[in-house]
Amino acid sequence: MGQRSPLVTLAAAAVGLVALLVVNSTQTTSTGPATSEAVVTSAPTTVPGSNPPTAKETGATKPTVVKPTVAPTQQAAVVYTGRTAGREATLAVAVKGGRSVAYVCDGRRVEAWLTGTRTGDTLALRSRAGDRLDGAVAGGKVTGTVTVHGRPLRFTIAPADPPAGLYRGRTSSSTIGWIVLPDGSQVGVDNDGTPAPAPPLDPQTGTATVDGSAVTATSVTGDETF
Amino acid sequence: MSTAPLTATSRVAMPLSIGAAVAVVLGLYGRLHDPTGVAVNIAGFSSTQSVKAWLATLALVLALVQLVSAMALFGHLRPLAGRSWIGPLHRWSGRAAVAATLPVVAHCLYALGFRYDEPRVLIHSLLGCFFYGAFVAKMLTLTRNDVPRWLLPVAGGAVFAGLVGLWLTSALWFFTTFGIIR
Repeated sequence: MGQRSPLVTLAAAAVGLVALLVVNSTQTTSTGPATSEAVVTSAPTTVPGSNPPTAKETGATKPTVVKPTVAPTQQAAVVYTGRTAGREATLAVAVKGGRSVAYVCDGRRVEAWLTGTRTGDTLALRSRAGDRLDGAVAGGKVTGTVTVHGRPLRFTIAPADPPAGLYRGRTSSSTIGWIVLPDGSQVGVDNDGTPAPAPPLDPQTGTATVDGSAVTATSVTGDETF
Repeated sequence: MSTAPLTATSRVAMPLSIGAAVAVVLGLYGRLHDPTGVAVNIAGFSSTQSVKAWLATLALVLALVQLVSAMALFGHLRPLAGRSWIGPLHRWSGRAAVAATLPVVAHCLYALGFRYDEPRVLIHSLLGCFFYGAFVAKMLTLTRNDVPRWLLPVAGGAVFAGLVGLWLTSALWFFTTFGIIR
């Protein structure tokens, strides 16, 4: 066997890996969230710098400085909540940038966590068990079909403001999902292998009590991976 | 007195330690690099995951070619003994197998990172680092003629076992979860 050819193979593999990592990194920068963040951070620094000479105008320009910093973050993370058309299940879809997380549950024994992408106005999500959600963002609402355990359910759901939204908590043995609806009602499932109704969540503190111990729930924004 | 055994030890230790260092570096990169979750979609496939599952399956098939051709090279397969095309077949199927895994590992490292939130993912992450470390160790073993004869089959076996484990914890999981889909 040749003495040098394995080294050439090694070098080619290393170069190929680095090249592919670079391709992956160009994909990241072209998707947008990073560039919009850059715009947000640069806007407040330039605008106040140009304002101080005219003291009268600072009061008027301040709101316009604040607005652009708030609007992109709200656009970046939106949580839609609601029920399926036949009220079979409750559903929450969190969208952030090009990514999305959804949770469907009936509050008793059926639940599914789905992750996926938002491309333009189209949502495409899947769960590990093969459940899927196909939806479209239109007119400030999400309309589509979620297929849980092979059963397709139609839905149209609207944006929800905190404390309404989607929450997820983990214990050593289980994962708990809660959907808090705008009317304050909540639906959740505690899944430790056998799904069961979730204990009540205090949305203000983000905690629940499971088997006597406190569990902290985090608000799902849409770019998580499970 | 002890120079000969020491150099013999270092001849074995050199490829193994460099391989181990590569495995650690890959693991650290996977852990420290912030996972982006970005998927490069390829036409004709439903998702990045399915592309990865099929590339891993291709690599596994090539790895089986590797196993058989390696056995032939070591003279364990009577019918194939002494055939001149076995060596090139072993080299090129190996290169093709590693090439097939590169897009997969690039996505794993860049978009997902080293994770340990469930046993399958932890085992897969560890095996991924181990596989490339073992691959580097095997390539370095090949560059020297003075290494012990057992080192090459051990390194090759480690690479093969690593790939089989990687396939079991990724592509097999994918195909059994989502069905055999493109």
